Amino acid sequence: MNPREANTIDRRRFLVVTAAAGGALLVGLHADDASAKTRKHAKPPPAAAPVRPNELAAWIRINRDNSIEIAIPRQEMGQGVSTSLMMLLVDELDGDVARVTTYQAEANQKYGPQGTGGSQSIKQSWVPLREAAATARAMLLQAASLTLKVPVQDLTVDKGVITHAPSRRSLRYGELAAAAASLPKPENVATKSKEQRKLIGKPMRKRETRDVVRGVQLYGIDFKLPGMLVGMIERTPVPGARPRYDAAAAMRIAGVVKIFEVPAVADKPLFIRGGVAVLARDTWSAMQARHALNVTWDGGNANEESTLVAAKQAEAVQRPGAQFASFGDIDGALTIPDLVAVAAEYEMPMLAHATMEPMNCTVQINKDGTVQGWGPSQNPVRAQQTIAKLLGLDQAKVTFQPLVMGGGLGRRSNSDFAGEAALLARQADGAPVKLLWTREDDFRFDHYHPMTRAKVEAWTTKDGSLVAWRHHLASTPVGSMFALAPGTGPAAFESAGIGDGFLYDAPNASFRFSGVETATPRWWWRGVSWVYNVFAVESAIDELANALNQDPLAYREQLLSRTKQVTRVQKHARGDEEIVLDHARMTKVMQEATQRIGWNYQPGPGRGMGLAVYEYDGSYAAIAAEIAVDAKAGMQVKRIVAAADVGTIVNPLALEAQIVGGVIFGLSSSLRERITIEKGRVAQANYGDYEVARMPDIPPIEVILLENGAAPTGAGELAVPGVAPALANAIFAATEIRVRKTPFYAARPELKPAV
Amino acid sequence: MAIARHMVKVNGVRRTVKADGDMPLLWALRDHLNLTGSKYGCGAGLCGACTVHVDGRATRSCQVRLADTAKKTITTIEGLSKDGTHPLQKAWIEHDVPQCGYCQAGHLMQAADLLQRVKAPSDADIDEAFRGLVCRCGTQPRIKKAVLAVAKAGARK
Ligand code: FES
Ligand code: FES
Repeated sequence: MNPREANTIDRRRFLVVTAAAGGALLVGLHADDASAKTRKHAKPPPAAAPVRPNELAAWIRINRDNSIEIAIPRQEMGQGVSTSLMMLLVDELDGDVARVTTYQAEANQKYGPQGTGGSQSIKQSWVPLREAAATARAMLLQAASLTLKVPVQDLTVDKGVITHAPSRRSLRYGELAAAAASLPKPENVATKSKEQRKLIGKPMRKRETRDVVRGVQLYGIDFKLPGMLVGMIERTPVPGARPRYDAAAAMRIAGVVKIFEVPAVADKPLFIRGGVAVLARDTWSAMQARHALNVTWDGGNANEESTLVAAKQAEAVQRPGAQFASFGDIDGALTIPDLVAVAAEYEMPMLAHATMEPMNCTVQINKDGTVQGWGPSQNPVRAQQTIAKLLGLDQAKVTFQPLVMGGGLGRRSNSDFAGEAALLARQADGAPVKLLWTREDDFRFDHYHPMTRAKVEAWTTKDGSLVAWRHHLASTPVGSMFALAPGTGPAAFESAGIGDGFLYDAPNASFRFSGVETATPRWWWRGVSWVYNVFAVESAIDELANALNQDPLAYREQLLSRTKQVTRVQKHARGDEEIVLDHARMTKVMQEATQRIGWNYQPGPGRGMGLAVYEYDGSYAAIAAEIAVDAKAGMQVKRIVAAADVGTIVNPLALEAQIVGGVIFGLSSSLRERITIEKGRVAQANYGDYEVARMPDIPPIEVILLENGAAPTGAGELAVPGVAPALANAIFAATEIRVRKTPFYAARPELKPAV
Repeated sequence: MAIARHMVKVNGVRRTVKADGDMPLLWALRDHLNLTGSKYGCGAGLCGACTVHVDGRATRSCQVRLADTAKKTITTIEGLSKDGTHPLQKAWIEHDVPQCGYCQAGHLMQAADLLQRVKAPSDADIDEAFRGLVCRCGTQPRIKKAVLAVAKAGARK
């Protein structure tokens, strides 16, 4: 196998360009052993061996009629991935965008990673997708050259038409597809330079919008099949409780088909609660049946309280904890005379995802033993595997077609809902079942963003040299939701932006972690651990600046100007990883944001500006906020400026939307959002008691996108973590009150605007 | 909770739904009339995803009983225009407003209601009109921009 190919996605996949029925050309990946269907190959076939089209996960299909079909292996949840991945492929292919259709690929490991989260889609697709398309383009050119009997270098390509200008002859891709597919695949085809690109870097609107505005975009919740039943579960409110209920009353509701208990499934990371299930002919019947069940619960663990978890975390950060990263020697450094010290603790509550479309999934068990699943999922292969596992089937017996999501936010990377749908379908005698969560289910049985407390102690010399940083994070960890690989550190899923990822150059530092377990499951949430870590770091940096009587912008400039970049090597079970924190890029982003907002730390009485800067997995962001505080009217966010450097920009229109959306998501959680557990149960049930940002909360938001030739990095979560510290720092500038706990409106009710 | 036949006039067409009169209009539209453009977000009048027009006014369809719609005229997102060319729909495309899109039917129906009542809405009018709606993706700034653009174009006519 060609090693270069081998490295593009993973070692077991070949890039393949091949012919398909009807004279089409397919470009995609062939996996020799990655999927159950192809596992029967004892040995990897040589790359040149013919590959049957159905074994190929094709990204691109060029048809004889010149149309191009593109499979989008990543999941669309509004971030515009179906547009941006199409742009990567079609730009490099020099295809005609007007002739392109895209579709969501079904779950199939042959496609390479389909899971969509952690802002990884563009970052991971950048090289392999463009290389695949460039290879296909080269083969089409080669085919044209052979057909027209002219050298390749005399040909030009535009919008799927290859032209030989001297002889005024041209050929369409569709006409060449079959011939191109029969040629040997060239190796090491160069991708375009920035100047040669026609789509990448230019704004492109989402095509789906045409369907959205007419109400005909099909989401998971809209999915229908003949004879389909709607399934709902009255879930066990506290783990281990036993239900008492009136099944007969529920069965009397018209349209109700079946009432039964579903078991809890403790498998990580599903944590399916179990409960009493209803199958009915429509949604309203199912809802009424739940009501008629009149379920009461006996026993179970009803001891969990958010206040107790908070107390445990407060205690935990006073103890040593587990050190997961350290540099230098803090104790030695503290002998330096005349140090200025800051010590503070920062708290964030559990948070719900509250995607606008509640969880749902449709499963049908066929007579022949095969199973089909359809649903909104950020990780279709995980959904497919979960359905197979809970039905005791081989994965190859299950197909899963991902459907458009009404929001993901990390929630849909789990597959508990797919598992529940399978458990209900098992009781449906072959009828398809659409499992649907109500909004109340969605709030009460989410897998939440963890609750955290960070204790930071920092020391600086009087002239502003950061001498030492001691950081102890207590969290209800996401990591313990998984059966982690041996050698994985305790803070593996909690330490983004701290430890080896700590932005600043602190010669002496120690990062420690304490996990405080809860029965309430936790999960990834847009921004993951950057959210609480950036809040702690960027608040504490501000506190240091204030302790030194320095302007927080000038202080950061000074901190970041000492080194060009910080490089740290992180040890993993899978090998070492180098983390580069580029202070020049960071500084540039910070300066752009502050210039735009017209940085003035205290712009007037009752007014203040705040800043937060950070690195996010290779991307850089600065958030600058201006607020006004009035004794009567509360706090008003006046303006937010977000500057982002994500390397090469693929689609500026989508990138801007992601940054604005991220700012609003961060604003919403900083100001209003909070999940609390009382007597073992989540106390919030709907958008009434779980407040989210709405139109009047949202200030003018300006986005600055810095063009940078580096390979693209992630953007989906980038803006989220900076908002809380930028606002907290602005509140301090305006009021000299330091808010170290979110949501701010609960921590400081006087800030909450009167409606 | 008796099953009965209910006549409803939706998007200019008289339709019959055989269902419990207590069924919220939202579920009659979605489950019985195959009009799934109106979305379920909260079922409690808190998010606006289900917003339709009842006798021309923006109404949360999850809060209206099917039995109470007999003499009313209902317009859903599918009936906002025949072919997706309502000025707001065009502006939504032009400004690339939706992200996941799930909340957008509600926002469009609310926007159409607003512009019918207030020809040149201020920022504060828009804030007020959309206070009852939720968008988790954070499309509010583009919604505002699109609404203002349509209002401005309307004023020019
Ligand atoms: S679904 Fe009707 S207001 Fe939320
Ligand atoms: S566009 Fe996704 S909720 Fe509004």
